[in-house]
Amino acid sequence: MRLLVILNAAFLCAFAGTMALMILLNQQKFADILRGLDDSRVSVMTLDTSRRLRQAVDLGLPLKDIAESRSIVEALIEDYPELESVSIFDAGGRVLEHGGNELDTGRNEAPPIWVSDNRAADGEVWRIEDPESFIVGAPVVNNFGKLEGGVAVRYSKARYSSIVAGLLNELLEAAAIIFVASGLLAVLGTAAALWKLTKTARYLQRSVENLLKPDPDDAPADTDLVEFVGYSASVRETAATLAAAEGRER
Amino acid sequence: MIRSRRQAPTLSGLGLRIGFVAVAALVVANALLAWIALGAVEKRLEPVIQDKAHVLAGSISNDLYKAVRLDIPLGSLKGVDAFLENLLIDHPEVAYLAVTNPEGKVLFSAKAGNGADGRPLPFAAKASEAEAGTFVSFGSEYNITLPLVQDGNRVGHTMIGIDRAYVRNTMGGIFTDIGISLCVAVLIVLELTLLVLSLTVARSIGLMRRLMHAVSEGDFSASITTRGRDDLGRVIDAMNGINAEINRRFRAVASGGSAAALESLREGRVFAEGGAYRPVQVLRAGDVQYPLFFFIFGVELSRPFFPLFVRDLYDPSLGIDASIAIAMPMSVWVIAMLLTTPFAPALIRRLGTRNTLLMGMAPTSIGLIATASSTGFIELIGWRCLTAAGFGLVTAAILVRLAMTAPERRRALNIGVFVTATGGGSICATAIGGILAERLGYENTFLVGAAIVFVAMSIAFGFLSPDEGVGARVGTPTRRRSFGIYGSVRFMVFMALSALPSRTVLTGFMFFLVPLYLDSIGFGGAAIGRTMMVYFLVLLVMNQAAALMADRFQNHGMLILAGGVSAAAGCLLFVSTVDSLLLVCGVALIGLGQSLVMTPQVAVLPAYFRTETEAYGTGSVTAAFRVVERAGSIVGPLLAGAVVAAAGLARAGELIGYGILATTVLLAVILATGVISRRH
Repeated sequence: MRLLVILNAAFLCAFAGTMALMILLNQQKFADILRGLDDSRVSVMTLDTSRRLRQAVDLGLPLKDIAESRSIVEALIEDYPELESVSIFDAGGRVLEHGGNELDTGRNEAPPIWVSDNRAADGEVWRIEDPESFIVGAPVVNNFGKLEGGVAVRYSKARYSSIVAGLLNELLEAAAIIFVASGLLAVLGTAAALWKLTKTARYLQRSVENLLKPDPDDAPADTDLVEFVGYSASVRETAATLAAAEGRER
Repeated sequence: MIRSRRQAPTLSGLGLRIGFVAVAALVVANALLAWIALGAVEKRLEPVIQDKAHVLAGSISNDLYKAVRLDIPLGSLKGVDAFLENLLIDHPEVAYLAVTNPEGKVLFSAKAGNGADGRPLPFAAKASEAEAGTFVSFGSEYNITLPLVQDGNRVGHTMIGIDRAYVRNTMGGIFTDIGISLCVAVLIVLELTLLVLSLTVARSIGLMRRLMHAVSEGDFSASITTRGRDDLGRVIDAMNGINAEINRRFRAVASGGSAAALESLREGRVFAEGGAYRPVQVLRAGDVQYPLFFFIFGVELSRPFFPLFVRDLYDPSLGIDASIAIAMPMSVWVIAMLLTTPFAPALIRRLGTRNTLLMGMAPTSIGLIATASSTGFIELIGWRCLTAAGFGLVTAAILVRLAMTAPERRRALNIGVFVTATGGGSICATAIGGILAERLGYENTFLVGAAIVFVAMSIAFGFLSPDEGVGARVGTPTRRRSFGIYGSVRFMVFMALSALPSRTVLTGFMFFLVPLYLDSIGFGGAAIGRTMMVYFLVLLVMNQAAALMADRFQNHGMLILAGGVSAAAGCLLFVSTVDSLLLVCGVALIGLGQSLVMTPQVAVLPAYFRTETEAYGTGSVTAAFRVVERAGSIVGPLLAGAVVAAAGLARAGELIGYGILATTVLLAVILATGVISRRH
């Protein structure tokens, strides 16, 4: 029984460790893919918005005077409720249009890091994250290559985290059931494998215990035990010698 | 066991059966979990992919509307194919992008992968029937269609096909990692099975046999200390009970009996006359195999990323070149190890094997934890010294213990226990270490390593008796090591052309350069671990084969030369490619080279250096070989670091490869002339 417990405790530790690693690998890979897809989707929106603004800027309009800005921001916020905010700001960081939740810096100023990353982006998408959100931005550059401003789309980490947590919970639940089932399988299999050993050990125990009994139990014959033959002979012979000595004492 | 041997379950048979059950349960459980995980991932990613496809289709439609608004017929637009192809590059989940006319005829399209196959898009014909913006599963894709409308009339459609196998294919990237983790888990389960069986069944059977043998010889003064109440423990209790009863009756007779009666009782028998029993002990080589396996597993977990970890902590203000600085902790490791190794025999004699092992494992564990929290280069060197000091003590103590428990004729078998445990531990550690480093970060992987070393400590604590080895005459050879051997030009030439290069390949190329090179070509931690694991795998498999070949063909020189060529070819192949398979082949060739060289290098010493062996003794010649080998281990990383600093990673690898080839050719010439081997 003890052997069965020790063996299976070791197995269950190994099972748990492997399953934990399996869950970790799956969860992290899933999180990477999800993050990539979300990022790519918001990048498409951001670049699309940036391109639409650029067309107006290319016609000679300053970014702050583009009438379409308001409707672009409102349409994005309305169509994609998971977006926290959409901001259009000029090259100096002044917010020209904003929809959604307020920024930490207020409605008028874009965070300095947006402005610096937007300046360094060289026409490409830029990405940053804060504790609560992911931010994807794209600069708006006119056809003379002058930076007019930028677009920044903020979306919550909460949705991403809840999807990842959902997967983790599902995997943990599945793992718990599989762990119990495989543990049971291991216990039964080990018990079956140990059955013969246990039987032999009990048989041997009875044979040893019978050696000095005046009325031995009905134990199986012990002559087929290789090491036991010499052992039992020596015990019986010594016991007989002792009995003789004890008899003489009396 | 004790029953007639044909009928009784043998330990290996029992281990095999139990191991099979456990491994089957483990594999089935994890395969099931992987399958469930894949389904769960697909279920969650599908809507995300669809949302993205929707946004992308909208974006393409927006661009096309510019033309539509200007009344430019869609079909006469230029550059749309190229525009769509550009979009495909950024969106790997998209199988195709297309623009059709109102009737569904494809005007422009771009297809991923075999896009140039010219096959039509079967869904295009249904584009006009499909509901705008909804996903339709058709063929191997999910299709979405957005109509392009001008003044209430449909002028065309934007279509996107999402590859249905995308999630499955992307998740497939982790299946290699899962497979490797599973293989490592299987190895661990088998080790655990043998560990527990050895701890409980084999040990108990060994003790019972000893006691039965003693009693058969008339010795009733022994007793076995049982640790638990399992079935075998009860047999031992019964046997102890027999001895106790015999001794009780003997003492009763002795207290009032005549001298003659006592004399006849004592004839050919030994009793515990003072009431104290002699403990029965069984020293088994396998007892240290399991703590060693887990110890190596824990320590070697950092093998695939250690140079990268050091690179992150490199401080340019120290004025050392980055490559040499990265190599320094590896060289310092060998030095610190060498400093504690000689203390092992004396510590075992004084404190016993178990306490010596614990004394070595504790600083190793602390060192790994401290390494994880290192913030500076010098601090890192300090903590690596502590870790290495413990490592040196543990490995030396285990070698001493193995030598202690083995009769001369079984010594090789006992050393096999060491090789198996270190090899198995290294394989598992290198594979898993890379995966953990990629997923958890370097620091956390060191902490996992420390925890595994703690497991090794627990096993050593539970497995070995505290007093085992105390006072034993172990491993303190008379150190009449003569330094004269270093004056032998023949010996030193052989060392310089064989032992030094092989250690340089190991520590300088394999442990130092390989992770840095793989990192430089964009391999992640898991991929580095997988690639490096092949080295240990080949070494473990080929070590025995090389020893057998060496014995069979009795041509050690040829094996050494073949090993040198293989290692050189491996180095040259490795740095000449970025292909994963060829990189693995390079590492495998290095492993093969090392395994071909390792055994024959020691075996040839008495034959090649007969005069030196006669003059200084076999021990001195072997010891000198080990000293040179260790010097190679110290110099290897520093040498490789210096070459990398001067020539860059790939060129340094080539130079090392050519260097090994040159020394091998030179050795071949010298061996052919018989200068070393004295074969005339």
